[in-house]
Amino acid sequence: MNEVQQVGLPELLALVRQRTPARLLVGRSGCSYRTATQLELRSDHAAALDAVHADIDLERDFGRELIERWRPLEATSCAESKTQYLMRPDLGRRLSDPARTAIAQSCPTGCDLQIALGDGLSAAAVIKQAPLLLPLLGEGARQRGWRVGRLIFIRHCRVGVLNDIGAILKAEVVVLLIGERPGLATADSLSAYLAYRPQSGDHDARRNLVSNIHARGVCPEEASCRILALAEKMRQLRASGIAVKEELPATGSGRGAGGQD
Amino acid sequence: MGVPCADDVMLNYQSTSYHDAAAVRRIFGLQPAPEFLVWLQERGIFAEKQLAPGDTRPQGRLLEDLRAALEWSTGNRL
Repeated sequence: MNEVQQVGLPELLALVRQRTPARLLVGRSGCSYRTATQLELRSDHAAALDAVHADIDLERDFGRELIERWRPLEATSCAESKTQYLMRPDLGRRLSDPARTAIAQSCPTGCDLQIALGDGLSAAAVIKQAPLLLPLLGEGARQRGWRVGRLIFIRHCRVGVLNDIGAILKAEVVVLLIGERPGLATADSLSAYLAYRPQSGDHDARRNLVSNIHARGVCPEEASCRILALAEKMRQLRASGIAVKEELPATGSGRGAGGQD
Repeated sequence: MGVPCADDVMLNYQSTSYHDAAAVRRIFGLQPAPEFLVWLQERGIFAEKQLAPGDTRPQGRLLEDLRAALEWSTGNRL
């Protein structure tokens, strides 16, 4: 037998770990976690909490170049603090009165594409992914000849804020890039929510979503292609949400199911 | 629900782990449902109505299945 040449359990486990962030096969002490597992879980949970509570400082986190290129308008939801934001999801879905006024005064209306950034539940995700995604979206929109609105950044933001933005700016497609609820292993995952002419009372069934935008999930290049394709389709169909089906290429990690190779 | 270390890495939820289920059974003196217990004992995960100690048999089987899956997905002989 070739038993001798075969790699053992530790090597196989190392290979498994390379392929998934899932905490598979960690072993046990009695029926509990081993100390190392427990410590790792506490540490990763603390990192997730930090990501939720962190705040974004546009100039510090995005750098001068991006700020000068995009001139983001800073706005806040009706949630006045991070604590209130976490306790009152409804407030995070509405723009504050000063934000409404500022957006109405300084953003162009009736654009083909309006992009907004929201901290959501992970500042780290926005800080990490938005600078990668924005240039790709900007370039894709330019190639299509779309008129793009002024970038808006919304603090204490939830997805429903799309409705207020749509109501004020009457943009055709609104994209909100927002930090996702952090997991224990990934705090830098971003979602892109899209809606066609969103307005007051619109709900999730009228929205489309590209989620898991991060290095180990959907990479920025793929995400921007999907976002632009969705926006294009929404403009064709004059609709969003369940009326729009995203056509994804068949996924397969390397070897196909046929296994001919 | 059995999620490895309670960490749902796709939905980013914290759930309950295999360890949690085993600990709750031990603390409250509970047993798996009878038909589930039969299955667990058949697989060698439980022995004599308890979590099997040292568990060499399931681990050996796991090792072989894991090797086959990794060989398939990496295309390398392991």
